[in-house]
Amino acid sequence: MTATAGAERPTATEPLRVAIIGNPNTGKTTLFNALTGLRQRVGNFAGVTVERVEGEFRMPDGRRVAVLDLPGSYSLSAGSPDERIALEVLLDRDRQHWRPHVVLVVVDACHLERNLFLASQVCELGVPVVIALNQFDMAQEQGIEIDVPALISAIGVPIIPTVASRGEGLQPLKRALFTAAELPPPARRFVLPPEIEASLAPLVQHLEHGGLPTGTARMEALRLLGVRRGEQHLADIPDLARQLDSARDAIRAVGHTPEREESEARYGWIGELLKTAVRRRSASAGASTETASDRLDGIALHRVGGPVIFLVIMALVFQSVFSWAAPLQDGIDVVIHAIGSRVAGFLPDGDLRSLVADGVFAGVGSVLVFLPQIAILFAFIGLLEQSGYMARAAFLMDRVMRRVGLHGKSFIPMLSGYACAVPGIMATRTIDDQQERLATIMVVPLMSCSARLPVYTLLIAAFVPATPLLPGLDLQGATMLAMYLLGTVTALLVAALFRKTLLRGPVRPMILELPPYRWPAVQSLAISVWQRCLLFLRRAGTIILALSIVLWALATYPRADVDPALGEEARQEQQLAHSTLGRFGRAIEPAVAPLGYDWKIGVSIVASFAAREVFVSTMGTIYGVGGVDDAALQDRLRSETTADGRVAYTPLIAVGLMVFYVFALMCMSTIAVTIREAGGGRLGWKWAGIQFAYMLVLAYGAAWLTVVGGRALGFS
Amino acid sequence: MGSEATVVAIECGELEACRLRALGLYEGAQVSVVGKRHCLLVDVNGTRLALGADLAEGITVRPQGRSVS
Amino acid sequence: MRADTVIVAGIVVAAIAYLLRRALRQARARKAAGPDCDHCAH
Repeated sequence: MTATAGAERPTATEPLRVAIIGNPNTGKTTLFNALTGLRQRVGNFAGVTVERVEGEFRMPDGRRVAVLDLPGSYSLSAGSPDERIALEVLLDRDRQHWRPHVVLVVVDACHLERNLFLASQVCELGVPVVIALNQFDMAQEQGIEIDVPALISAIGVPIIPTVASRGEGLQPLKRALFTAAELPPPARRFVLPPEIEASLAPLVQHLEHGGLPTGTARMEALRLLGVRRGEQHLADIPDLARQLDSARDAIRAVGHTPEREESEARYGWIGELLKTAVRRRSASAGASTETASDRLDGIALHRVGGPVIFLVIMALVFQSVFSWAAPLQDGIDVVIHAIGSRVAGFLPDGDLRSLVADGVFAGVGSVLVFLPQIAILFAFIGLLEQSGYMARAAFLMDRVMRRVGLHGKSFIPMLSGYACAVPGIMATRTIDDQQERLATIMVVPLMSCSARLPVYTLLIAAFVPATPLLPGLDLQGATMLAMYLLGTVTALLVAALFRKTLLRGPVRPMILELPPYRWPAVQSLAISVWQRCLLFLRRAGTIILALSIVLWALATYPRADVDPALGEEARQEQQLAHSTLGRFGRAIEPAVAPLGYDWKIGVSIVASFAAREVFVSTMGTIYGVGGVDDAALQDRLRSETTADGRVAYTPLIAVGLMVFYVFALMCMSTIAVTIREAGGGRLGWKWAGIQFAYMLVLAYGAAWLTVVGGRALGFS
Repeated sequence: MGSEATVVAIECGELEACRLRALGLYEGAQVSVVGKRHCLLVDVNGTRLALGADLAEGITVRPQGRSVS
Repeated sequence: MRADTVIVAGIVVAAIAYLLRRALRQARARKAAGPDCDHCAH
């Protein structure tokens, strides 16, 4: 795989390809959102499972720009798979050969030294570079005065101040991207001591023979001095390790330490150029003086206060997800019913009408109703992330995590798991230790994801009374919280178990950057939440729609010859029992009977292995078929009776069912991601299998225990 | 605390050392120790870093001639 | 009612076909890559 001699210029028909890179917490994603708006596509990088976000925008004159958001990195030295893929794309050694025309480095104006480390590496790759000096407003507020023209002449690339959260500087930035593509690319601007250059020369030559262009070879040579592990993108260069070792020996022979060379050289250069280009007004100059952020951290990271605040915030999030969404949900429910009956009214009586009313509208409608809750949940998570509180939370959790053999860094994937296990599992890529990473992957699905929300909500609304407990919290909210807590605590215990048995190993120490607190960028947050809602709607309109249709068919055919003398409900009951679905349900009834479920719930559980929300829509379909059209599903559940007239579903059984859902892994997407992230192939399947199995056993066992134990304690 | 110090030695796993160096915490660099709650809070080139306790113990800094761990 | 039944049959078959296609695509995607994640957005 040979690299191109330098970046090419875009042809007349291609869009301009811009790769965005930068440190984490620089507002890179905000900038990406600001540039591309809603024209984004999420996927994966080929061959790996790093998330790949690509977007596009158009210039006023119609020229297209394709933007690729590379994972946030502190340096091109790969500490995690994230950073590795960024390097591969920039060196044109990625599988897809995206070949950027321009690289946009997002630099945080408040943390120039650290950010310029990465920027200086990128500038040596022979590709045109533009630097976006982001959060420029915050820098000014902190009294940091930056002489931009001086920086430009020192570094040799266009530098545009921006405030991504407010959309400032975007136009000059876009123009700069095009200009840069036409100019010659930048090169290294500092000089290494001659003895170091001499020691590195053979290594540089060796890399050049391996296909790297000169500038890149020199960058890599310097970078590799501090890297011990073999790197995949250079795997095809023979004999590299030996050359590297002799370069290191040569450097030691002249009295230097090879591992420090790159830091010393780059930070030395950066320090010098910032002395002239940046001035700090003395008030905020001291790095050791307390900032407002620090004062906030005094509370947020307090020994006692910290965890308390954390729990309060979490409780607030959950209560609001449950209660604030309610009026919106009712509204959606009403609208869907209205449309449904209208449409049904147009159709002549018969199968098609039943399909539309009971299959499509009842099925999909019962899931759509949860859009507000999902939106609120994602909005909160985004808020926590943007404000900078996430890092503190990860930090607080580190203590707890360590007890179970995990990292504070494991916290963020787990928190993402509350929204959806799939991005949560992908987020484990920032965890360097393989054992820790696998352990985290194994337990992330236990964090109740948003797909479980419809199930919890339905069961809680139907069976748990809304008795107030504390100001602002009632029994329903508390039950919801309890389910989430159950998942969380179990996740930690299971992780501990894994770490003591299958995934032994030491816990790596933690390095966490605490970004200063900041007001979240509302617009960017809104875009992210909107994206998520659209995906939810798409999912509802496709897989859930298809499943609802198929389930309706299974619940309707074969048609029974019903006795016209029986009442409406009894007739539909008979019809249902006679259908394919009914027969299947009766067949598996013995398996779920110990848990207190009848065949209707049994069937819904099986169906929801494809997608949890389908539990609700299946129940909706079953009762839509088997009951009066207008009655709310909740009422139907409550009033359901068994053959001998007893109440079929009691609160205890409902709680047991929720417990089942807390633990069971019922998501194809999660299984697919686990397979890939655990290493793909046999290894991936092995771990996914373990995950599925233990969760199923846990689910069944816990549900059974709940019902049996509850009865023993006197509940019904 | 709030004192300026120079990093003298870093003893930790290779992965961490690599990450620390990229962040500006390398032998010979100037850092500020901001606080010590249940971990070490340092300021490196304007960035606040929280370092886990075990990691902190492996880093030796020298504020004005004295050796502190 | 015959037209009715035909339409219904068509819809149901289409739904089944769609689900099968999805399952196949996910299985194949385990080896290759491509945006197959329709359940997440970050």
